[in-house]
Amino acid sequence: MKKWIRLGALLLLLLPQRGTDVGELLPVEVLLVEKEAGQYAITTDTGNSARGDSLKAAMDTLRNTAPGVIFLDTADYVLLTEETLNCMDALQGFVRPGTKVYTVEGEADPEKLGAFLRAHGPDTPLYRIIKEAKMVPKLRLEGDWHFEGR
Amino acid sequence: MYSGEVNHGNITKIFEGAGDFIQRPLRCNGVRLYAYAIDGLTSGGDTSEYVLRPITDNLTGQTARTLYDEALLGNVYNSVADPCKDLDTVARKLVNGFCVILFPGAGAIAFEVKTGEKRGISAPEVENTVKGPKDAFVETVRSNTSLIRRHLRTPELRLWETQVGRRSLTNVTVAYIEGLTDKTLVQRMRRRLEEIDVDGFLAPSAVEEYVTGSRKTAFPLIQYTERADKFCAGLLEGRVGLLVDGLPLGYLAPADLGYLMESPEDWSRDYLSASFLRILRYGALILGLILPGLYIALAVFHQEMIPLPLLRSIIESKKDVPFSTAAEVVSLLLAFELLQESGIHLPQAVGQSVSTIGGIVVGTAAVDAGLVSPAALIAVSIAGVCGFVLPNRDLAEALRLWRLGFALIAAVAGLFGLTAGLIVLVGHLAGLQCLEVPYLAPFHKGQASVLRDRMVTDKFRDSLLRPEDGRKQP
Repeated sequence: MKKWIRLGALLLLLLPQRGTDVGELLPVEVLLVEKEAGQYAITTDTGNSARGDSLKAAMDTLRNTAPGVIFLDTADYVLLTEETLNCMDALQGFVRPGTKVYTVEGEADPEKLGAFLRAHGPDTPLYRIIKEAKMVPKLRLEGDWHFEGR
Repeated sequence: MYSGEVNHGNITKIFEGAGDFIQRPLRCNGVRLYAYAIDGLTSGGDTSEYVLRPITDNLTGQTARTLYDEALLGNVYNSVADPCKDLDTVARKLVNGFCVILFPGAGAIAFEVKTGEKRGISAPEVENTVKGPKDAFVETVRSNTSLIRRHLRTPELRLWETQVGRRSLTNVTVAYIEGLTDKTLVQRMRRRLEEIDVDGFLAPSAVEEYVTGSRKTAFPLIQYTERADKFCAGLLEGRVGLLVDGLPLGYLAPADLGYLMESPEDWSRDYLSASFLRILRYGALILGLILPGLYIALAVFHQEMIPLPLLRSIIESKKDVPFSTAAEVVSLLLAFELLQESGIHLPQAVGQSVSTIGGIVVGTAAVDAGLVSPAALIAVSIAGVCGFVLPNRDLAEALRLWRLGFALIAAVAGLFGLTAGLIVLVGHLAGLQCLEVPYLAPFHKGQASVLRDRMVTDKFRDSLLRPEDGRKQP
């Protein structure tokens, strides 16, 4: 029995994942995905941005250039534009299924929208939009930000 | 131990070189007698008044044999007069505060004249209660047995006495209640004591290791208490008690996790308050054990489980800290241990100040200097305070050891490692037993024994102890 416990302890040390210290994290709450000049442009509420030919390429660039470890597991909101609505399937590989997705019309600054979205954002998680083909709520800037139909 | 005839030459040879050994020749009706005693263990006044004077005044025999018989049968008016059949008994009586009178050719008699110099009975130092009694055990085993007798006046209380330790000859008393305590438990305890073959039986750890079989575990397998009422309550439950001369403690066996989590204060309150506090105590046990490891696991491996505002706050607090979370927590745990140890070894007035000030000042300074983050300090401090909630110090110390282990394993393997560690711990505890009673006995068969029973409805004793009389009240 002791032999198996020692073996188990040794196996624990051989685990591949070493973890990331919390101090190195850049936790993202709001993610904006746009298309500019045919390229995907991602901006986060942590002030980081990146571009790429595909969503994956843009995400890789974002991870490689950020001054820390971009942490998308905390992303609660993803803002898409009309041009980037088609990347929702690809988005599943980067954010949690429960992340709420909205489309945005107008100049959106993720750093400033976090508080508004927390207070007023409808509950439209990514997995439900894809599974039930639900309409994505539209966020509009008309003087102030508001959701279409509200 | 000592062979040979009981005579003056052999007795003086045993204590040759002992500066406190007193030997005094006497003459009684023309017969030469000898008196022996150990200075410091006996009372000179009592020896003179209740042994020497009666010998010279009351004995009328003309031979050693008749003098011996007269002395043994009451003419020497001492409450205790034990005949010494061999040299071993003479030696043991002398080192236990007896005055031995040798009647050459007839034998020797030991008269009890112990000195009154001993620590008086005082309030418990550690196991304090607001409403409970304030008499705690002292180093003298006879004082302790008298305390037990005062709490338990039943004539069925049995005190089986023996000596353990080839050189220390430590007096050990096994206490139990005839007709209540399972005889098998008593026999096991007696057998364990008889099997002990060591030079000295002086330290509490010697008692704990030798009696319980020195299992490789940090968890206590025997419960100690300095309170006579708690000791007697344990005897009334059907447990076996152990008193060791020289230790101001009483031991109770078997000990399982349920008994170790009970506080004397539980029986000073109503059952609702006591039950609430017990639940709190078990919560503190779990929290104190896993909180540092859980913090490391979440902060290093599972940050997605931390609510975002809290995560941001932790990240913000860790901005200027140069060390990893695991290093922070482990070093804080070790610092905590050092502070506690320093508090124990320093004189009481200084030790308390050092522990308190050290914790506050060093902790605050470390945070201000950016060496540790406030979140890590809080996690370790809460775990430390939870450890202080436990009523048994040995259990709290075992907890500290496992807590450090959990922190290390969480640093390597996150929640997976923590869970594996918990499984190993539960398996380890499940494999422990004391006098063949399982350590996790209170939790077997789904019995919820965390809550304190109402005294009015608590009619039966713990069935796992197999008491001869299982009923506490009709």
